[in-house]
Amino acid sequence: MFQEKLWLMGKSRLKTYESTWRKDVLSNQENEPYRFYLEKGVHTIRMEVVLGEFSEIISEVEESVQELNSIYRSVIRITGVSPDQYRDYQIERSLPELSTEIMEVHDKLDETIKDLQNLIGENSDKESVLITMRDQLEELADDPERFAEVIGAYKINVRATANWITQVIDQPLQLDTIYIYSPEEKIEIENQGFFARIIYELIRLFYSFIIDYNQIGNASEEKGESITLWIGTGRDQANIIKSLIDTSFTKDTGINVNVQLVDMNTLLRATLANEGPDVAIQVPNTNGIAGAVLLTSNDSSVNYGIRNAVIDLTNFSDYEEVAQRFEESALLQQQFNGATYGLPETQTFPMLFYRKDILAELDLAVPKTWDEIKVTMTVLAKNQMEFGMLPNEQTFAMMLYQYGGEYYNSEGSKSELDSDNAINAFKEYCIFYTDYKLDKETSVEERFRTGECPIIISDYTLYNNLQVSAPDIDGLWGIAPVPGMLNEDGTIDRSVGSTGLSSLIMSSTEEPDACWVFLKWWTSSETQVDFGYEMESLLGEAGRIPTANKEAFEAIPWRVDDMNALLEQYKWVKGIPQVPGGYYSWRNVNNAFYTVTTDTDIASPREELVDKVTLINTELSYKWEEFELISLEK
Amino acid sequence: MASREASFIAMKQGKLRYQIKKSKTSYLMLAPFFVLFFFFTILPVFASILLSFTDFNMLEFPEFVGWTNYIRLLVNDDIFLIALKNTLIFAVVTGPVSYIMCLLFAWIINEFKGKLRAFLTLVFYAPSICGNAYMIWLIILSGDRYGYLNGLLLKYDFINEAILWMKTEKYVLPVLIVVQLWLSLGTGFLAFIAGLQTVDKSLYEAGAIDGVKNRWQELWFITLPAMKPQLMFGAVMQITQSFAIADISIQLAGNPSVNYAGATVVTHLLDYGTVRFEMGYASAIATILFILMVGTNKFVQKILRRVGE
Repeated sequence: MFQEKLWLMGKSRLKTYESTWRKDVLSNQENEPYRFYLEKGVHTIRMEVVLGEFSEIISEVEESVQELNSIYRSVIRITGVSPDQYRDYQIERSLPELSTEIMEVHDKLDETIKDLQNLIGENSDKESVLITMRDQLEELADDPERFAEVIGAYKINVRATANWITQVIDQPLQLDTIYIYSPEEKIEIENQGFFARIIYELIRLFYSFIIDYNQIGNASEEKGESITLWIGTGRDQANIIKSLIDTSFTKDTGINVNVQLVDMNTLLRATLANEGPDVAIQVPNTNGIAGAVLLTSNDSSVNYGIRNAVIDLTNFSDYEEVAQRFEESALLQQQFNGATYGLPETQTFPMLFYRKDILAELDLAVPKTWDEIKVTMTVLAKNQMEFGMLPNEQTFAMMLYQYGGEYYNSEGSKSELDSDNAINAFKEYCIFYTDYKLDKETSVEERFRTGECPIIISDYTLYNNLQVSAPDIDGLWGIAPVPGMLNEDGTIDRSVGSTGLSSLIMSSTEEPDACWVFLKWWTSSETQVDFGYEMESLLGEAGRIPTANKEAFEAIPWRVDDMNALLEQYKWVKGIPQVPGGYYSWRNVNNAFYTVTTDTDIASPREELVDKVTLINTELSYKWEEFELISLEK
Repeated sequence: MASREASFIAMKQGKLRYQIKKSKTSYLMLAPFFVLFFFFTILPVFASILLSFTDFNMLEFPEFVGWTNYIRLLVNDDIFLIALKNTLIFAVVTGPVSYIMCLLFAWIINEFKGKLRAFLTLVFYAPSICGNAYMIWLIILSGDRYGYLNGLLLKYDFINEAILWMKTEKYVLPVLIVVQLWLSLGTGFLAFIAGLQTVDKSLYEAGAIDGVKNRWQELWFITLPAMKPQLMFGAVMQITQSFAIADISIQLAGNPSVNYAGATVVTHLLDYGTVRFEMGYASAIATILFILMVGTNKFVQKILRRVGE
């Protein structure tokens, strides 16, 4: 076997992406095609993705964006984010260096634009964002006082420049065919005929009536055990799962799997019509509003389970062994009344994200307790910044557990939210939005990027988003466990709630054992690691999966510091229990919360919450009656 | 006596069969629509009425429970009362207001000629055909200081801090009503424009001779009576729409909305049907809503008969 590496460092011959096919000849700057002398034998063509000369430009822009952001922060420390136009802030006097700093960034950007023009020619759409930014800087360098008027536009421009980086990095390429031919040969490549395209589109239209786009891969036709699997997330995931099944599961067990990509909102209706699958994986909560799965607990398993639509997994003899793969907290939301109605697939929980650069500027340490958070908040407020934490079920659950409260009594027949601990937790939760006036509805991620909120609490999957979509603050942020309550013995209670997707076996299945074998395979650490690996190689860090399997989680290539922070937090992760009528808990806490925070003068947290707990209890006992459950505690 | 009655019925049936045979082409023409209408409208309505007497939970076979759902709904359900109140406010405010708006705008636009008229029609009709165009309101009403409305009000010092428009009880319903009005120049509006154009021009001349003094009299005595069918159609559409408001409430205020401030009968129904798995109860709500709609439609039709009298 003879291999040769050919490094084709052409002057970016592959131009920008177009939506039509095109023929490119690999050639040097003078448009002279490269020639390779190929000896007799086997040769391998390998391709590697590199940014080429763009990488230099990108790193220049990244630097500029960091400086632009730091200029923004130093300015808003004086003016605030919505300055009064008619006030004279005397920016120049308080920041004498500002003009020169702006000029430096301006010159750097100017140079970058020139490089860019050399590379891809003038007047491309790529440069317009940078030019807008540069021109605004010129204006501001002349008269920094103008910041008071244009700070909003400035922020938008900086954000556009940061997004420019992600766009430039993303250079799609589709290769159809590679031709290797002698220089003397003339080859004709036909692919763009008008009629050929029309015929192609017609064929596609025709096939759309025949092909079942929900079906991933081939439906199995061989005889033997066969199960139908529904996947609730995306096509990328489904394709990967299908190939994993083909290469490992079906090969080892002989069980065929029909993989179908289905919107999980239809699972209920399909089950009702007896058209449902045997196994459903990646199932979100039942009122699945996009994204809400991160914020509220997942009620699907228990809701299906108490209505006998899914199988109680504890019936399988080796259930206990399989359950060892997960934290108890992850299993909690799958369980009710001694039964386990599903296996957890992902488990996510809140973490604290902080901006290293800003905390260093302000000489702040990462807060470890809520008291420290409050001190930090005053320092941030002095500098016109804020602490970012949105009111949602995860935030409330975090407070509740840290104050030692519980959602329900041990059997789930009565709400415990009227206990002293729970009421204190609720009070504290409200205080952040009444006394400290945190924003209740905003994009904290966006403000984390700009630096307006240098400390935020958010679901840990934000980590992946930031890695991918925020190159402008790359390396400037870190994660830490959430702030906690100081115990008397000096330890800190950092409890948080958690949520995640579930896998279910439907009761209507004729092959429960095959389904169980499949679920065991799917949630095993090897499969989860493989799946995670494939996802990351396809989508980059954006595809990192927050798997609930303990072993697989530790196999994810996190940075060491971040891994330690995550593991520290994992020790404190709890679940949110699911009971019949459980949807009423968070809904009513939320209602009480908004009454308290909007009618700040009249409403007291204690009264509002206790009022609402009566409603929760009525609903719970109504549901207990509906399911003919017998409470032992009444 | 009995045999006479029997023969009478037989004759009647024979007559019916004969009549069906006689106009079978008409029945054949009717069939496609009727089949669809039967399976997708009549059948579901009856199914829902039937289900409203059961405890159907979507996953297990329904069990007959008699009037339990209705008793719970009418006696015990405080949220249903809020939802009903909101729906009635919606219907009373947006129904007539948007009806009159439709008519007024149609009348004004009808004064223009040719392309300009077509263009204006499109401009007014556009919001209601663009599906989820009201999503734009999410940006306008965004609850932090970056939302458009908050931004404007803060800038001109009407407020000191950002208002969570869709999370503050007292603002939810008024805001929803405004958005609904913005959306409501829909099918009714088009029907009015069409109706205005079909009015016989010679009637106006005759009216002028008979002593019509101004445009208002012309509108009331000639235009409106001449387009009664369109008025009826518009009214039915408008009422049905305002009773069935749910989407904008769910999208803008969420379901459930804060303290049910944006709850309507339909969002309440969806809450029970999807979140709480109580289809039987949801069907009972649907039945009540159905009766409410039919009743109001009958009432409005009675009023409209008096137009031009």
